[in-house]
Amino acid sequence: MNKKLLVFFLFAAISRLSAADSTWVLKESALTYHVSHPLHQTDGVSHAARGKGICHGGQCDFLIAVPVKSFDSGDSNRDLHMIQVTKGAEYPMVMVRTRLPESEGLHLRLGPIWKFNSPGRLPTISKYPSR
Amino acid sequence: MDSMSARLILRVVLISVLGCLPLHAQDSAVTLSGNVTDASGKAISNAKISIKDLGTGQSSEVQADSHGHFSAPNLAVGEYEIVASFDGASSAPQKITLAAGVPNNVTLALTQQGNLPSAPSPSKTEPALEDLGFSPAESKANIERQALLDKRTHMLKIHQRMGLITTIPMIASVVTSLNAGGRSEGTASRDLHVALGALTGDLYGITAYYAIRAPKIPGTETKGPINVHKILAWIHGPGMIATPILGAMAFSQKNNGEKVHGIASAHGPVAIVTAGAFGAALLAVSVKF
Repeated sequence: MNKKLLVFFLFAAISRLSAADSTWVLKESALTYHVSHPLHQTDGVSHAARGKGICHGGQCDFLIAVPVKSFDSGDSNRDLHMIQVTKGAEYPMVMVRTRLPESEGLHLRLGPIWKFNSPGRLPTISKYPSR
Repeated sequence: MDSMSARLILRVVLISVLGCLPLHAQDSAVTLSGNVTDASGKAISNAKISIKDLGTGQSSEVQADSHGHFSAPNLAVGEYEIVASFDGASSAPQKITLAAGVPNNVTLALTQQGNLPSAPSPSKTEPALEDLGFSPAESKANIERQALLDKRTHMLKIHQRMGLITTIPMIASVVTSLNAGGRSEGTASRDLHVALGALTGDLYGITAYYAIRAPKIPGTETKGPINVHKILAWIHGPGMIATPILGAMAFSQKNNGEKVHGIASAHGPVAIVTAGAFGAALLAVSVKF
């Protein structure tokens, strides 16, 4: 994975479950990892993310999570390598927590979440999700 | 003589003392455990904990789990300095004296608030992982599986590099084959071809070993170009066994002054198919078609 770039993007659509209790649920999502290599590019997608937002006092706390092993690029070798590099067996969930004002919580567009350019390093959040 | 006896006694004593050291170290091994929290006392997951032995100056690192708990086994008794860090936030260095037979626990609070992913919280306003419907098994760390993945990657990287190295003598042996057979009566070019073929076979064997012995990951379905790579191995694998056998037969016939005949005449075509399948297998996983 030297000189390869592995980036996770999450595009999520969150719908309000109920205005009364101000709970939001993730209806659909697409989380992508991208590997850039001199000879090929690989994209793996997961639609297995689940998310929930709970609003209280005008602020909403969101949690979106997806199992690392749920990504599928059509190439099992690349997917297994991605799991190995991201330590996906040791840390099996990609989790994003964020807090937003309730009035602005209609749409979330998150990404990139992680960026790796060296193997063996633990994942670190290089950019926290923005609205 | 006295001096020699004294030196001998000194050696025996030194060996005895050195021999006892590991036993002593093993007896006094202790475990340091603790928790990492943020300034408010909420657990912080996946923080790194640096443990510095103030006696020897040596440092080691462990990582907190998803609940902010960490454990560092097999430490020698003594004084240590411990610091937790995560994504720009760190705790104040904390000195602790580890002793045998007593609990060695420490709580490290990260003072600088960074982008800290909190461990599942019982707070009503913050959803926890369990609220999303994931089973505990799905979010549980599997260290053994990670070790298996690490070993697999390590072995397949060697497999990949050895495969690339193998192509060099393989191409050279194909090139030298042009002068090794046919009507040529000289033995030098034939010997060079044999030497390159033997080198190719040895390197191929090492390459194959690392692919075959790389651990399989249970529960994973093989799909994509790796399937083509594996199917082609069923062509170049037997080919790499047949080619040198047929080559030895052809070599023997040529050395006896005979024209290469019978099954030995298949040496060339089999070698070409083998080299072609090997090259295609290499390309199948290197280039996206």
